[in-house]
Amino acid sequence: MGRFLTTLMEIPNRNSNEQAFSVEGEKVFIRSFLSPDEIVRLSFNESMPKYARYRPLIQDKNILIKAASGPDANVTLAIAPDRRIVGAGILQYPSPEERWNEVGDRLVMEVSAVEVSGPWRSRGLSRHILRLLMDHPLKEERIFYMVGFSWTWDIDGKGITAMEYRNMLIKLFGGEGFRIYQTNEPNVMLRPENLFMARIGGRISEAVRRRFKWVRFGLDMHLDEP
Amino acid sequence: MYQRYPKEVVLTDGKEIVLRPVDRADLEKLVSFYRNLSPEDRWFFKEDPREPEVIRQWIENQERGNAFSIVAVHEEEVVAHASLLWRSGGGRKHMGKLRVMVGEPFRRKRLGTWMVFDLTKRAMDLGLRKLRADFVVGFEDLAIEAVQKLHFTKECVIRDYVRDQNGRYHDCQIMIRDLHEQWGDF
Repeated sequence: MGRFLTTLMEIPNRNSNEQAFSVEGEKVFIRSFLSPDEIVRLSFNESMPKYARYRPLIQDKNILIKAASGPDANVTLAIAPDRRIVGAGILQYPSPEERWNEVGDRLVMEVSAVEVSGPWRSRGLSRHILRLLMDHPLKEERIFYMVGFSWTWDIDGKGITAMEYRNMLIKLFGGEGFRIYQTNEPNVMLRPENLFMARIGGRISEAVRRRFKWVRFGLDMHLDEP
Repeated sequence: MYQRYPKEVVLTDGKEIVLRPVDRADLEKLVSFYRNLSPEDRWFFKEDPREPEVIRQWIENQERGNAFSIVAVHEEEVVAHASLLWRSGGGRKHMGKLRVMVGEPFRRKRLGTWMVFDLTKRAMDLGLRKLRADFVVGFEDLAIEAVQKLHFTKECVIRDYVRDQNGRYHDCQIMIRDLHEQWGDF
């Protein structure tokens, strides 16, 4: 496993973690904390959109390269032996306009994508990608969150209902210590099946937890409380 | 299985509320909640919820699997109660009916919205296709406005359907929400 990846990725990364799997006879490698340089050398399968109502979150390699250049970011990829990216996960700080930044400077990080290419789905890859994505040195000093918007879900491709997809996400992220939290964030409130989950690190102070609560409900009047 | 309750919500005035399913231990608190409502608020109920027997039947209905109720709890007190009712068979099996009552001090703070939102999720989990909520025009206009923001639409009005304590007739507004809209609506 390690030898293959050393060949595949010659640039060492001290945070990087890697796992190899054999899925129905095909090898796939999952590696975390990929640098922009490493991602440039991989090929991206752009045939992800298969169903008319589904548009992948990660539509080109530049999204991954940009994310990987951000501070503390973890871009974790599932890579086939021919260097094709077949799955991806991104953990990064939210965009500046997001309300979650009000919790505090670099306290909250978003799992902004976990996606697996069509032919590789239903093989457990997303669970492994998420596990390596969460294996972050700042895990206990950060609040990690995810938002699930049903209009981004490949429900046709999976052949399941939105609520079944939602339950699948709850199970997936629940396995990594995420809990559902209520929020009045307008996009989350647009549909009942939309989802907001978070994992609060063990070393997050009570004051920050409280701020996170106020921010979830858009109550900035409480943000200056000690 | 993932535990979905209790759920914590914060109202627009900063009050913290816990939403959770009703259980048998809530009987006294629910009776007390309904006894504290104004006679006007209770008037349009089919039964008198100040009677413990009525609440007991509601709880048993939930245990039989024909209803799901949640309470909103603030500082150990029930401050609101909402139910989703459905039929186990027949032509209206796909249909859920919502009933929400929020205590006066907690109105206009989005508590009702949170409860309707929560029961809508539950209805979808149950595979229901439509939700119905009935409101008395002139008494529950704020609630009508609130559920419209949650994609309920005014389906029809039954003229002079209910009568208030003074014998005056009022319209009944029937609101419907389709739970499986076309994706194109975005």
